[in-house]
Amino acid sequence: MSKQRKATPRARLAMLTYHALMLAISAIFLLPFYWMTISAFKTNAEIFSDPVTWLPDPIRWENVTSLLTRDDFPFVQQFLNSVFYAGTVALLVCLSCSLAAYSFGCLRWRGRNLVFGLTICALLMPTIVTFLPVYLAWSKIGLTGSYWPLITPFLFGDAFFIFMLRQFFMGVPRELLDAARLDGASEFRIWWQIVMPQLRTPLIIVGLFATVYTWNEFFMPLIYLQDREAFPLSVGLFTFQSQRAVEWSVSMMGAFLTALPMIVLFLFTQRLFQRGLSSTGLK
Amino acid sequence: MGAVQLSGLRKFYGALEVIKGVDLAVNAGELVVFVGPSGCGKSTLLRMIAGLEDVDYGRIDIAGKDVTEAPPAQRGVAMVFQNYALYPHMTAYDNLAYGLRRAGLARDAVDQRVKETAALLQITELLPRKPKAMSGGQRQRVAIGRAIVRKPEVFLFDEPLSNLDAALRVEMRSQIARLHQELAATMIFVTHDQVEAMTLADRIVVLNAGRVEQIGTPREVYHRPANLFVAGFIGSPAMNLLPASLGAGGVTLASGPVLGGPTGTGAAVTLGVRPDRLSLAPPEAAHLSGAAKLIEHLGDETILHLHLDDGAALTLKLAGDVAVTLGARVHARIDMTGACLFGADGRALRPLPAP
Amino acid sequence: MPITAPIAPQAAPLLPRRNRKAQRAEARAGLFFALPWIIGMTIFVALPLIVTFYIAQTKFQIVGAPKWVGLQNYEALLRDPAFWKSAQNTLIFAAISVPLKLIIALGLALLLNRATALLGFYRTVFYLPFLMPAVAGSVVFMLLLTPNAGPVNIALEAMGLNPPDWLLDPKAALWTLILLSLWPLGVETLVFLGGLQNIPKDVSEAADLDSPKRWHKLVWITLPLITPMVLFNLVIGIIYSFQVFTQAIVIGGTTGTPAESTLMYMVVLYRAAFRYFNMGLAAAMATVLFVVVLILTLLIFKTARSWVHYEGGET
Repeated sequence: MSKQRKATPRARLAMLTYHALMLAISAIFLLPFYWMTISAFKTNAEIFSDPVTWLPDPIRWENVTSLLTRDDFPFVQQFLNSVFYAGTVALLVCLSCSLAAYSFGCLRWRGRNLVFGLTICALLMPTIVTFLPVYLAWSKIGLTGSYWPLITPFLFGDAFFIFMLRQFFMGVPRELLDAARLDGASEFRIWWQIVMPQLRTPLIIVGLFATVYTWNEFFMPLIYLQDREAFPLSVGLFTFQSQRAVEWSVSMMGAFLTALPMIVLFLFTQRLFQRGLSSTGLK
Repeated sequence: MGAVQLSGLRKFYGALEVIKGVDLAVNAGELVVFVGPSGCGKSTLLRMIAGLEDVDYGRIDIAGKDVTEAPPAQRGVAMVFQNYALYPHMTAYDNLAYGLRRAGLARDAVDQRVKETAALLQITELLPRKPKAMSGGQRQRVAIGRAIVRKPEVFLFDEPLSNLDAALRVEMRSQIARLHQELAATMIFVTHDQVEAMTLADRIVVLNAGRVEQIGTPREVYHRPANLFVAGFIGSPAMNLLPASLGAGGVTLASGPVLGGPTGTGAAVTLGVRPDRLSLAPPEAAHLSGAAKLIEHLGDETILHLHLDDGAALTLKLAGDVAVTLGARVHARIDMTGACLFGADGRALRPLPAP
Repeated sequence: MPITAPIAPQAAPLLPRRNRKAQRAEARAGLFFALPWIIGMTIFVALPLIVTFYIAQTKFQIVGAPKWVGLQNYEALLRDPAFWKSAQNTLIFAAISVPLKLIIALGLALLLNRATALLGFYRTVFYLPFLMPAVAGSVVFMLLLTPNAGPVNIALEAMGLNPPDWLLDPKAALWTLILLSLWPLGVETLVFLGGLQNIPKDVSEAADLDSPKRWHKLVWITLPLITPMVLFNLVIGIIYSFQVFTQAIVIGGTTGTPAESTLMYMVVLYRAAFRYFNMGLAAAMATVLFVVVLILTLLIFKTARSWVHYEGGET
């Protein structure tokens, strides 16, 4: 076929149209990021200047320092809270979910399909339906206001990440487990020495997804935490924005610095994210 | 090397019985091949012997010890899997050593055993490599090495050659045969490939729908099939099975011709004739006639598929390159040497006098 | 499992039934590995679900003991205009946002499903909004849609259109939320794209040979083969859009400004539980949500049999 050699004028036109369309769509998708970024480096007056300016001039680097030193938006503390929150959850998810996913994906036992079916139900269950009693229980123990209610559930697992990991565990050939059984490995040893080392990448993928989900989590920390110093960034930004609605340049800098870590993380690990997604959709 | 004794083995998946009472004695040092169509239970049976599937009824003895309820690693068996099942994150050395370490062998002993085995299989230079860096044949050799290194009573092979290409399969086949000789090991080999079964086996076990249809040497199974199933399953192209009766003049085809042999009073039988026992004949000497439906020229022989006048099919295997045109009328004659007779219940009747 | 009246095998005498030992080790391990999750599911899902149903029938203000009131909470709900308004808003939001999002995501996936030099770039661009924390995204949208100074309105005005006041006009504010919900569609797009790329090459080529018209292939081959992904995205999309909270509370606060036009069901529920501490009413709302989502999901799965095409094989 001469497809690669010389494009006909018609094909070249089609190609150009295609890229023009895609770039236009991309511009629409990127506009919020762009606007957020330039507004973060403008003063409030410049943001609302008429006519609009498409580039900050001059770049107001001082917005960064002024954000980091505000009393009513303890950004550094909240950033560290978010890192702690997302990191702990990601670690717990990798550990606890790999247990259940191994059981569902690799082992045969009576009741497995039932328990997995219930897991799917739990996955589809709206959070709020089970939330109130859990909240009441935590408040009875007196642990609201801490990260315990936010983190403890992940010690046991999470329906979505179990589902996601199970897809990967199902890819481990049964023969491999059988070979290990013949070699005299215990079931626990098979999990730890034979199966887990092969699933390092999937575990990192799930850890990444858990990090992003937790970083962006809003509802739970909003309800459980009361102290500004304890908030993760999502709640901190919300609280600041709803109290100081007019200080747009600070809000934008806050939004920018909240989003930035996840975007950087994603750009470095894109391939893994995509593998994770293609596994989810397959069912 | 140990003998294997299976007694009354049965297995259910829920209410479905997949192994329906299997009795079998594999002698020490013998290579037995399980063959059968897919779903016949041959792999399940092998996995039961390995301890990877449990037994509902019956008993398994290996080397004189009841192991029916023993865990896989304590049965003295080693297994080679269809897809090699090498641990992908371990080097060949660690793959071989893993089972020995689990058995609690000292480091030096493990090292010595692994190196011995590697030398035997000529895989010493593969030891530091991981499976990913090996070819299919090399992986298969390491997989066999992993079985040998444990010095088991019995080797179990679960279709180990089916993923290799044709040339490599022949090579590995002869290597397994050689190992069998050198180690004088008891081996049980599962395959759906008849050629593999015929060439490797001391004895063949033909399985169908969870039952043993016949146990015998390859020649017995080929020449003296115990029933219609074995007759139709072993041999390619398959044996021709023709409706007939035992008349006063001997075997009489349903279409008329009298072929001789054992006489009777008209009992219905099935006549089994291998395709190579048929030859072309002039119309007046022929037993059967039909139209050529499909002609396969294989060079040194010709396979001829006929559509008989009564609607049945007949396959001829003729030596040399025979010129027949599609649709032409063909007349065939049956050589009764080695022919088989089956009663109404499908079981073989007493054999015809040997040639 | 009991085996009913086993038939004696012909060849061998019936030997006594054996212990299922080999598999017991695996079964024990299976249960053992799943145990933390089974416990977790019991503590954090199953029990709370039942307790929610119970609280919904009590008067309970967090302090003190819940008092049984039967169906009073549900009656109060039916009389509460905020309940009806928020339910209406949420239904409109879901009914427009979910299908629109699926269509756009599918369109983007179809556009992306070809080998070009910029594929990686486009894919990244469409995925990025998903990474944006919902709070940050909502705040940015508020600025983007500011009348006069926001770039969206400037662009629309330049095109000669008369854009609404997205945030303050009650007729437009719900659309702002819908627009905002359409932005992070990277996950849906990539799930679709995964489905498209899983279509075997020979099937696709066979379709090309059968008909030269592109839309024939799209309608008869491509779409049926990705219906499992449509189902997946549809179910998840509906369930999540019924629970829309973050965007709504950032843009509309707890009162759904302007004029309750962005008041969402979850916001009213949140208000009832954590502002007014009326746990009974909130639990009743949660129960209603549960029933609605359950019915919808069952309906979708039931109809799915007729429109989702599963290739034979493992699930």
